[in-house]
Amino acid sequence: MIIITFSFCTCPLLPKKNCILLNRPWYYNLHRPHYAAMMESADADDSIMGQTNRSDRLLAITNSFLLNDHPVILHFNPLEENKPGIYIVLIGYDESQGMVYYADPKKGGYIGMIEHDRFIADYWYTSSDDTHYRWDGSWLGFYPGDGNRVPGDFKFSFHHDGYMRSYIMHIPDGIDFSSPVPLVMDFHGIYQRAAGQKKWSGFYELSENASEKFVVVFPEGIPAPGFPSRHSWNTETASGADFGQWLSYAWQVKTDDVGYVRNIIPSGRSRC
Amino acid sequence: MLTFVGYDDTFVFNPDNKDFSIYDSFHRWGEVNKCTGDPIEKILEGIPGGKDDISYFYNDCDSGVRTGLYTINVPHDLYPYWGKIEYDIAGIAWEFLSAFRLPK
Repeated sequence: MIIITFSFCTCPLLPKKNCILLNRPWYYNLHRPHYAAMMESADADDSIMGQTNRSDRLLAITNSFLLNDHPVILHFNPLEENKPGIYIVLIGYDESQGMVYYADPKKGGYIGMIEHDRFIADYWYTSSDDTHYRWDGSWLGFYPGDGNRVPGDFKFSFHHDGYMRSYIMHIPDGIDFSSPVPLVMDFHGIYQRAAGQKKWSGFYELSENASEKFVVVFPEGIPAPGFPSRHSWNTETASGADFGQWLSYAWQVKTDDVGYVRNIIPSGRSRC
Repeated sequence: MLTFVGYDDTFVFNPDNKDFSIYDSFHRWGEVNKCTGDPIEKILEGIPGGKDDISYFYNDCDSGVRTGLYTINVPHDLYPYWGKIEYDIAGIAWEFLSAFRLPK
């Protein structure tokens, strides 16, 4: 059975170049640790890059992307006290003033600002190979240049209700963010995952080919302990108390899936 | 609200399950959405020798909501990628969904 929900992404891109826009997942969680990892293609690896499945910490994230057409790599070890790393997360960029806004999760979401050039020099690393990755950074509120989001697949994770939750977001080529665009939430079934749903459901292709393009988010349930592929949602399976092989671990532990989804959906809040 | 279900879905409330019917769920959604009148039934092209594929729609519901159900002659999984279904489920769903806009 497929039940599809959707909402509209009210994320107006920067109408003025000096605007800073913070999206809800980060903005909403400024005073709670909320980390994000993203990959160029979620198909390449169904795990989260450099991250353990432990819900209490991230060990490491390495992000690579283009900043003003400049390939950069971020080395990010937010919670490893004894390892060198950079403890900040980019959350905004004011092009007119050349200022970067950032947050330090270790300081409870403290927001600071720093000159763009110094930020690059101090915190970002130019890729030494020919691999050019792209990151639109939208879910962390970073909009380079005119604010157009970069098409592609991005995998994000964040801490919610005691679990590390993740999802895949697909931004189709050519989508016009100058006005609000539709957002489809495409949920997988029991013992499936976001990457499989993206491959199987048809919404990935449709988002690219439809006359009205839309963003697709593929949320992901939580796995059962010891069964990393048995993802489920907090919903009782049809077989009732005798789950048989279709045990919904998320239903057993009553995960806050509604809160998780609300954290995914951007609010389009802006400081403009 | 739009639901797709396979006749041979042994995991969820398939149409042949008298105790826990997809129709009950569909009508319940009709109540939730304050739909009036009988649902419009439309027979689709089914698999030869199999059950008819049928769509049901409450089109007269509160606040312009529509409530629909597709019963299709397939098992649980409706993914076109798996080659078990001829319908473009995503396309049907998107045609349904894209007709709506959230209030400004």
